[in-house]
Amino acid sequence: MKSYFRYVAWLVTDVITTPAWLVLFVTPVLLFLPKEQWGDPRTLNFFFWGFILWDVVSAGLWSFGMAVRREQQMGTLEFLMLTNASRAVLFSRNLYPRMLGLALSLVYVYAFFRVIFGVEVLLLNPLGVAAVLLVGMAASLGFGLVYGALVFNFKNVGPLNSILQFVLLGLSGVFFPPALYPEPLRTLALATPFTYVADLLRFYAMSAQTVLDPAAEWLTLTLYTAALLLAGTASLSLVERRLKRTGGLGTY
Amino acid sequence: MVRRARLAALCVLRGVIGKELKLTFRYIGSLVTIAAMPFMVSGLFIGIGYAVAGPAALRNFEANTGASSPLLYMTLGGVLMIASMIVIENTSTIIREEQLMGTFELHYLTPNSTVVLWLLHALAYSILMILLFTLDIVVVIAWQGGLLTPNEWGVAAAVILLAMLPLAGIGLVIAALTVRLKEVWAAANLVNSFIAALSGFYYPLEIFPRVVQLAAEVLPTTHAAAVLKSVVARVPVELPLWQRVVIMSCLALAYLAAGKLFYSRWEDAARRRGELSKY
Repeated sequence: MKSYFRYVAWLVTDVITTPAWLVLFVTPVLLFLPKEQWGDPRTLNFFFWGFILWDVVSAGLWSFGMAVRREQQMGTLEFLMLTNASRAVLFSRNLYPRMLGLALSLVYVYAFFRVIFGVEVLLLNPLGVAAVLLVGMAASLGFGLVYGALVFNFKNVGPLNSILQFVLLGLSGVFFPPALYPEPLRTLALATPFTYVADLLRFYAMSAQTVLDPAAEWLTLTLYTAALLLAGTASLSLVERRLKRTGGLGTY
Repeated sequence: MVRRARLAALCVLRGVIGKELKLTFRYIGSLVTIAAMPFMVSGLFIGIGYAVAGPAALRNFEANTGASSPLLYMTLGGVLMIASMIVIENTSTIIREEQLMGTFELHYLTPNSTVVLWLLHALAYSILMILLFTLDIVVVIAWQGGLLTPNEWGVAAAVILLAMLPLAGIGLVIAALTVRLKEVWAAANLVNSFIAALSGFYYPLEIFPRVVQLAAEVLPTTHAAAVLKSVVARVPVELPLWQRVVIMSCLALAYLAAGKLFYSRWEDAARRRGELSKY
């Protein structure tokens, strides 16, 4: 948390740049609709919640996934490896600032969204939305731990992050329901955990239809999250043991 | 003497461009990402667009933009956007990064003007962006069964150069103002976001209120986007090419002069106080 608040300029610019990114992101898509539908509240709400979900997806790659690499680059990885602390707990330290960041961004993205587009944001079931976002962050953490283990192993994956982010955003139906996808994309979408986060979020926020029954989606998401957290913990441990055996822990 | 001075200047130019190209091609993964980024962003927009609009998507897009190919329209915008972000970020952070590497002071041991040195770095980035533009756009146009004529490519390359160099002026202003603040990347991000939103990379600016359009006119990237859409994507635009080029030339002089002014002021103050090496 200290690290999060140390760089105040980033926090401030994050807020100030939000309207610019909102306009840059939403407007190109509106061009595919006739002008009289540009103010459609339901379409715009898809974008609002998609914007929030983008934060959840990118946390998995950039925050949790790159935590190991950042420790390597700062030269503190070896010190962490000397402790007997759980590696999963160590590298999931970004969870707290990311959750705080998500909560803050909900507030200012909502404010800018209302001002720029003049539509009300649909939030039919706040508790449901909060629950989905919390579990979504946990799923993102699990995904990040598995990805982090790969980064630990292969070292430089920076370019892969950017490409994977767009693949996940598209495949997971972050901005529109995967029910609209043709096969086999729809089946492929059901294989990513973020699809269920997106679907359930829209279900609780906007009463949008889900691909599967909501109860089934909750069960799938919960199992997926648990599996990712376990797999992430196990893979970090495996990679660390292998690198210690081969003397590759300190090589960058 | 004059000839030797000119040759020396060319050697500096060759040295800077060679250094930047070597650094760029060292990390092939990053180069691939930069080349692929316009396609990824365009693909996302087009995918969402078709999903929300259905079969009428293409017809609506053409009616709203005048462009018959969303892929070409958006890839053009994407290349320009990535290029402008790279030039601004790299120029803004150049002082800080050279300081962190410990090579900043070494530049002052040479007889070269440091402002010219940093602008030559921006020229190197611009040349790289022109190459990437060529690659990305040729792929899209070839996929659609066409080719860029040498004249079209020449106009596009000149316009990109004329758009990118003034951004280096903005970058130098940011660099000079924020070198002490340590978070120069945050300032660069701020400027990048508003340039990206106001330049009309992915949409026609005519859909915005007049005051927004007027604000956008002071950006060289706005004019570059309009020219490229007109020349490459055959989108009708308001002003003729020569007027856009005149405006861009004036903006280039203004931004570069501002960059030089701010940077020189910081440099003079830092030399007087012995703070050139202060981080």
